[in-house]
Amino acid sequence: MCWDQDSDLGRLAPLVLQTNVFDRSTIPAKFLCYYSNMSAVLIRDKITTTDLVKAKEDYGDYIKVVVNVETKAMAIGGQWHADGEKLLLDEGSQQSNLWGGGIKLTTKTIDYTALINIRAQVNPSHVIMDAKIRAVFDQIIKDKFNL
Amino acid sequence: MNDRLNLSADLMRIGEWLYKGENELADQFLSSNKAIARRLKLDEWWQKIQGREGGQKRAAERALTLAAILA
Repeated sequence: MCWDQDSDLGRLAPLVLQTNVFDRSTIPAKFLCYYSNMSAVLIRDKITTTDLVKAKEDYGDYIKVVVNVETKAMAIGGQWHADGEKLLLDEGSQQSNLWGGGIKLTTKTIDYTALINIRAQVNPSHVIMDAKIRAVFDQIIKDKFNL
Repeated sequence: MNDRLNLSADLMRIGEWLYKGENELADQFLSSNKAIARRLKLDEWWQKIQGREGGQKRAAERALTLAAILA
């Protein structure tokens, strides 16, 4: 079980792990699982087989996707959309350009559902509501996945 | 197949309710769909969502993820 993101321990976990003061092997697993983005992969160009294998670690043939609709950078995989979002923010993406969804590899269907899509006023739903953004999101995924 | 799609649709709503903190509605639907989830061998997912494992928002995202997988 992971710590609640809003709890004191949830807020403390990233700080503790970044200090390198602690031996990670002594940290309880549920503390470490806060850093669950090990299977999220940053994609700048096309997706490689290695990327895909890693991205499939969490949900098999269903892969979570976060896309920067401006720079076309993309993160795939991870247990939570926030994992991919973090990778993209770390490489300089602006949060307002990031949108989440997923792809089912077996049917090649793309969905536009992610909690990170919820923005007051701009997009009050977990689904990407703007058709233009959805179209760009779609195209970037199709390009990267060679669909 | 119908069970999967119906459950997927309900999970979308459950995810939304969990996110908004409308726990009574979410729990009502989680309970009423429990048997179907068991039949589809989704007990582990169900347990984590109902138990709010990782907190309310994680439970919401888990519900939405399962909805997408089942769709």
